[in-house]
Amino acid sequence: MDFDLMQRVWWFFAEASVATIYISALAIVLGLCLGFTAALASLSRLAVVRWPARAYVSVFRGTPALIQLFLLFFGGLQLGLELTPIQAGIIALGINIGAYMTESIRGAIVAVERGQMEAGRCLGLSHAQTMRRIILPQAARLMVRPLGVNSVALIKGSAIVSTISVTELTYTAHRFISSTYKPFEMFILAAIFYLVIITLFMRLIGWIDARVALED
Amino acid sequence: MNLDFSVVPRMTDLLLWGVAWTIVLSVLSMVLSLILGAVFAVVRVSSIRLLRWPVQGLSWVFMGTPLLLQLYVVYFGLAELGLNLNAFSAGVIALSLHFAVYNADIIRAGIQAIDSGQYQAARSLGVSHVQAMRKVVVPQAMANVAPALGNMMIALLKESALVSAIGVMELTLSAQRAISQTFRPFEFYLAAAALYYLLNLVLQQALRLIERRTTLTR
Amino acid sequence: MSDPRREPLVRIRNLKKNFGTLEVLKGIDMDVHEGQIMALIGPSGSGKSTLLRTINQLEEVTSGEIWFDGTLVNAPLSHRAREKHLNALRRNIGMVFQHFNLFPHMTALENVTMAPVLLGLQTKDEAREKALRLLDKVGLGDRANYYPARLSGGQKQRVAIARALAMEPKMMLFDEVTSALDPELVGEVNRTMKQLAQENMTMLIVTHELKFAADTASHVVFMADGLIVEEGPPQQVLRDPVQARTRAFLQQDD
Repeated sequence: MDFDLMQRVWWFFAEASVATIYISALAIVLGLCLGFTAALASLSRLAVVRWPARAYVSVFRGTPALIQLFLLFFGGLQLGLELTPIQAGIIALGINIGAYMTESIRGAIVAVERGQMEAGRCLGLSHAQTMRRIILPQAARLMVRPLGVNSVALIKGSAIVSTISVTELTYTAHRFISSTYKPFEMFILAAIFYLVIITLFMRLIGWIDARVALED
Repeated sequence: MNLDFSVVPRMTDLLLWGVAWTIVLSVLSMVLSLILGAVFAVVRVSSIRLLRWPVQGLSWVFMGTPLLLQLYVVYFGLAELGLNLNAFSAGVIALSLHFAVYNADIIRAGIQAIDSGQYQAARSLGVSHVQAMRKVVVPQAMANVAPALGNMMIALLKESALVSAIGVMELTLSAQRAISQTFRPFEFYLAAAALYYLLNLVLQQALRLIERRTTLTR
Repeated sequence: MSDPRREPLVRIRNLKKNFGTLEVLKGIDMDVHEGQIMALIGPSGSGKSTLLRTINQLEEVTSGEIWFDGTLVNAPLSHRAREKHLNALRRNIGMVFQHFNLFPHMTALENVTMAPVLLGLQTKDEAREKALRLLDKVGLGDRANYYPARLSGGQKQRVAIARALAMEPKMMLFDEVTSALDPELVGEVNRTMKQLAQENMTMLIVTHELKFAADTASHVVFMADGLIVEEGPPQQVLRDPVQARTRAFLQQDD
């Protein structure tokens, strides 16, 4: 192992980590917005609202994220949709993880027992009021962990945007390989940064989860 | 709109070739990941630290880094260290190892979730340790973990698209080949997505059948 | 107590309810008068809980009529109009559940004040003052800031009663409210309900505690197989039943 080389280039990887974090953060926010909307829609009593949400989840969970990315970036270009690689990366990752987040959010809402909805309705609250004041505050606590798992998957999955030349961690490793011919060292360096990001992120999720948990 | 789906049928052979290799690659990796996962799980519940620690370290690294990066390390990185693998083997090894780590976690949790009373009840009937595990503990654990392992297999099928990045001929790469001949990315990536979706549906049905056979009466 | 000349508060006519092909209620006629304490008894599966839950429309009915305070509860309305109608109706009917259904993310006090404040019936201060009075009344003044997880089953159930009372309902529904409690905690909940009965609250109580029904109720209804078999004052129905079916049930219980 060429530690000397690793020492000389590690700063570039640190900078690339910022790009990975930036892309992931924006994609997570997009995914959360889509996830909440689709989760509420998928619980609607109206089929016309429910159906598109279910289709979204099924299609985006049923096909590879890589294909979704290529379809948006290269296919989009063909249709006149000119996105920069980083834009395409964030949008594709966000839409993809949104489908998984939909299921996490929906699962948490459904897990809050039916008795809670009945109790709210018996006090004369509307469905929407009961949802907002009683179901969602409880569901929010239940969804921290599953959404955390989704987000970890997304941070790792963000490596695929290197295939459309977005300069993040994996792409940076690639770039240095072509100039140094030391693939093993460069990939290990990238792996170390991923491990640090993921480990810190999981700590954060654990901390949030502990803070919002109800005693039982 | 500049769309022409009539180009897709002209590449049917190429795409079907890709589908076939995606199936071969995925099924092979699934089987290996399950076997390896079971081995890792047993090691992780064992009392021998010298065995447990390396597996724990391995799972930390594999769970904390992208699969794409793992593929690159196995294919390009190991070559630098003198271990030359062809792209297909590298793909299978990386996919198997990656998912074995997750499978091990699921299997371990499944074993630990079985009520110790079940094991004790079997032993109190005069059944040996191995028999108690085989006849009482493992069947229950199997039923518990089957759905989660099934989800992993579904994930594996989708993630197998990544091996196109190291040049393994499968569905994604065959779509890319078709695109380089026709310059029609939208049509072919959409076709590939549809084929993956179909494969996914077939796999889900197959898993449902298997699950029904492993799940106990409940 | 009840005045038979006045319109009953609840009037149920030929009420039927099916779950799929299963007939749960097979034609119920029943009146509940203001101030009446009515106990619904009967074997499990007799439909008594379902009947209770149709009154505030937690269960939709298959056919028949339910009137509450002069309005048709199960009027055929558009979805939106029905929702509005139900919200208004439910404000006037308090309900207490077998499994408490307290909101775990709110303190006892917040459980009681949330609905009146949210619905604009009381200001925050009014609601708080009133809630403290109600919690005091059910003997939990010192537990106002406890979360449900730190209360015993009996305490949870008394908070649930206070929560329903905060809406100033015209009537209270009790659905087997002591069934999920440890035996030593049943008494405290029963005492609270008796106290409420003495204040002339109109109450409809589904229970399997015959002694409590005998002590507290002004009227007892015995149901079996989705029908009312016999009803009348507790002394008559519980001590001297006319119907063989009622006698069999009471003997079995002894």
